[in-house]
Amino acid sequence: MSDAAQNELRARARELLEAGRVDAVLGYAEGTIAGRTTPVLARKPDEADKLVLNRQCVNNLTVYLNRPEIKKIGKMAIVAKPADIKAIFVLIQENQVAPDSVEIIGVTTVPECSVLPQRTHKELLDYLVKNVLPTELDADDLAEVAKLDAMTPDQRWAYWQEQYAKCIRCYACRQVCPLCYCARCIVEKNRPQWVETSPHERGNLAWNITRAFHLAGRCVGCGECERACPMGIPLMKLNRKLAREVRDSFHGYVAGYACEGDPVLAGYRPDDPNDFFE
Amino acid sequence: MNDNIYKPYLMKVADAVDEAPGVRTLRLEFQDAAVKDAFRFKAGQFAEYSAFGAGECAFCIASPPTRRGYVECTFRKTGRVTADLAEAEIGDTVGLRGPYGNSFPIESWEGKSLVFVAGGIGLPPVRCLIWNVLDLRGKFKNVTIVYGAKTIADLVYKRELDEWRKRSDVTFVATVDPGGETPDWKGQVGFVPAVLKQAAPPSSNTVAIVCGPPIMIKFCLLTLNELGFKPDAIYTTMENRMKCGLGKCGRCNIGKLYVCKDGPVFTAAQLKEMPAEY
Amino acid sequence: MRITRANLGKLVRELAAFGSTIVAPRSQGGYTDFAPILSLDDADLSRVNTRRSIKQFFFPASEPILAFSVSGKDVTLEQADPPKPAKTVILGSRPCDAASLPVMDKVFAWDYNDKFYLDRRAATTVVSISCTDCDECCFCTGLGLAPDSTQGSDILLTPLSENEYLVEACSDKGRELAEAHKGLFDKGEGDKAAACKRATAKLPKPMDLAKIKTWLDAHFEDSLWKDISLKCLGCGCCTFICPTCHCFDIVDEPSGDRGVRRKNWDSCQFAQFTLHASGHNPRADRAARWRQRIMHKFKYYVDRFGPRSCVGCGRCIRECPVQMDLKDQLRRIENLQG
Repeated sequence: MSDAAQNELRARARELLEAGRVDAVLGYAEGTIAGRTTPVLARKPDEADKLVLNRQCVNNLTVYLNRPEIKKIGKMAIVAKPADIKAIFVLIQENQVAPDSVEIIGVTTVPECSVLPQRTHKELLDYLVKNVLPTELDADDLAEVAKLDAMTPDQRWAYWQEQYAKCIRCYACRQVCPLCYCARCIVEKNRPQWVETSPHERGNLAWNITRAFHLAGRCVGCGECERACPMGIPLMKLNRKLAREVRDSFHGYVAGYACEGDPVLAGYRPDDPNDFFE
Repeated sequence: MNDNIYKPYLMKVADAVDEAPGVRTLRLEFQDAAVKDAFRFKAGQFAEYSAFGAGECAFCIASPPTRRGYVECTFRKTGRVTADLAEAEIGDTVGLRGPYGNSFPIESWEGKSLVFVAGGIGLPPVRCLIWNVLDLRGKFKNVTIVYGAKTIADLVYKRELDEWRKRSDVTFVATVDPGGETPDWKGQVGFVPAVLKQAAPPSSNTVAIVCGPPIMIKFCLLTLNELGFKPDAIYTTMENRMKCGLGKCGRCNIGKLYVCKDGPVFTAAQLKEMPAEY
Repeated sequence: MRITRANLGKLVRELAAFGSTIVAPRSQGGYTDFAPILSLDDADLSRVNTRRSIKQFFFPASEPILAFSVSGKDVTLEQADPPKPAKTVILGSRPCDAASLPVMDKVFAWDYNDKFYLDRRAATTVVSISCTDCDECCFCTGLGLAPDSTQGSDILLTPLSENEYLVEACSDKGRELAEAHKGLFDKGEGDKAAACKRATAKLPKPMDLAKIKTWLDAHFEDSLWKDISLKCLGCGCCTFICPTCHCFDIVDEPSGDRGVRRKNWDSCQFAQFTLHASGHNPRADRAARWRQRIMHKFKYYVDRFGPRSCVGCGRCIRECPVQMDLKDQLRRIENLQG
């Protein structure tokens, strides 16, 4: 079954490359380690056969759209799963990606592999709005967040201190995230040193909480940060919590379902609720 | 015995001179009498200077080893540590770790003539060597100094330039870039490589020492080549971003050479072999 | 020599009773890493390897190297001596991790003795366990090591069965430990090769490191660097979990009129690692930084210290979010050399 979808993906990519509509297709290829895929750039039509589509296609390739080495190549087509598509729309909304510089090849890998028939950004946006629930607000995952909510503040603080104590400040979470695109991250600034770089408790709490806050209202729930973390820190729990808070505090706003208008925390409406601060 | 290789000596700021816009010299005296007596270094070596609370920074030792009991450093205010050091007052405490690195092989130059070429803030490491040589003047033949800066204000060690000019055993040429002169300027006007070419010091039995901005070094090497200087008779001192200063933190290497251990003094012959990674 | 599992358990208790801290792989969920144990039953010796290497016990991710307090114009240095480390026994490191120690020793004792590292080395006994299995990321044999290599270990245990290990004392420290607890050890030999054959069968053939070095010597500039680094995201994951990566940063952390100076893990893969205050960066792009990693491991270190600094543990491949594959890249370079 997934072979059919994979063939369709390859055909789509080949078509785009043959027609010269894009300079390269960013997708997944068989990795050198069994059971893993790896990001790949197909630049010539016959390289489209390198592309695979299966459940191991876990990376969010959107992260490459902001890279200077990739931008230099020209117009990209990108194989994108629903969460990845949302990330592209947030990047467009935040003026990081020009809408006509990227062609989206929408795919799904769960529950089955398929290539989405929708091709234009508008069609894909409609598809997302109608069919794709925000993964970061999935009921089961929110149940985990609710467990934390049920703790006392001291218990919760202790929980996060324990989790973040494992952090080694490798910044894999930041580097895999498509929305972490600052040329100079806040931890890389030293006048003043806003966030201590040392991987001790204090520095780690500051880093991880700062990053979660910088992603509030922007995180699309792709889960790459948690997957990439070599230390097994449940990073998505805090991201989900903040996504829920943003949804509940700002007119039901969820990231990734629009590519126009102000990002939620970068704009102001006179009717924004303000009952949460007195 | 200092068990902790990262522990600095405590120094008192004995004098501070603002040499040029943004450029300052600090004279540091050892707080510990035993260290003051025992401290030795060679021209070309550098040290790691601490502004406690801001961090450490590597500069050459700008005073000559023939003058004991104190150490001078000259730096441009550029980042966090130099910003702190730029505010240091007389009596403040600064740390010093060192001396580190290799040195100019001054003993092998006895009986030779020496040509010193420096630009802007490239003078400090050369100034250390110049005074070392002048303190042992009888051991060397002709001494020529060519020094230039963008403008008159940017010339460092202004009082010493006058001393060198007045000496009968030194040929001294100062220059400023075209446009950098004032009506009463009595020195040359022109870029350092051109002024060097004009001064045309003979190359036989002569060693040249060059230090300055990369572009100046590049053109001076060409000029020296034209004047007949062989690459192993030309010395320069390199800089790179440093942290430990003693070969462990992995930061300052240019190819396989560590600037803090194999340098900072290199010959032009060695430079030729280095990859363009500086 | 041999030791039964039961006696190994007794050894753990005896070592603890004699005042040593014992660390061994422990599992929680899918995550296995070194942590203190009081009993052998707490250890999980079944995994191919731990998430992090044993580097953290000698060169921790962050450690204070001195403290200072400021009073007016005066500064007083405190805690300026390296701390006296606790006696530690690492039980269950793999031969690849153990082989990383001679590599790191050379760096931390190069002309200046880093006592923070060296004192910990002196106070730690490394009891490794040979690998009876491996995964596709392992490649120690590619670099001339083996699942039963003794390099860097004080004692190497090789599982002969579920209940018994072959014991090799590989250093004076190892021999002293065996002597001090000799009642627990039995006489006897064992077939190491047979014990490890499953791993050996799966592990890759040796690569020609000399050939790889010859290519690296001549190809600082090459289109390969851009090619193999294009998908790299530039995080520090590989360098931090690598047993032989040792780059570090020194930072001051002031707090009012006091402060601590710390030595922290740093990575040549970070964009600002070599950034000058002037704004100039000698390694301004991803390809240059990736090149530094390969060159350092397989050329610069070899030029200065020999023979190689990578130990083939495979963690960088296992954990890389985009599946950068070091062994695959080395094979490519080997083939390029022809």
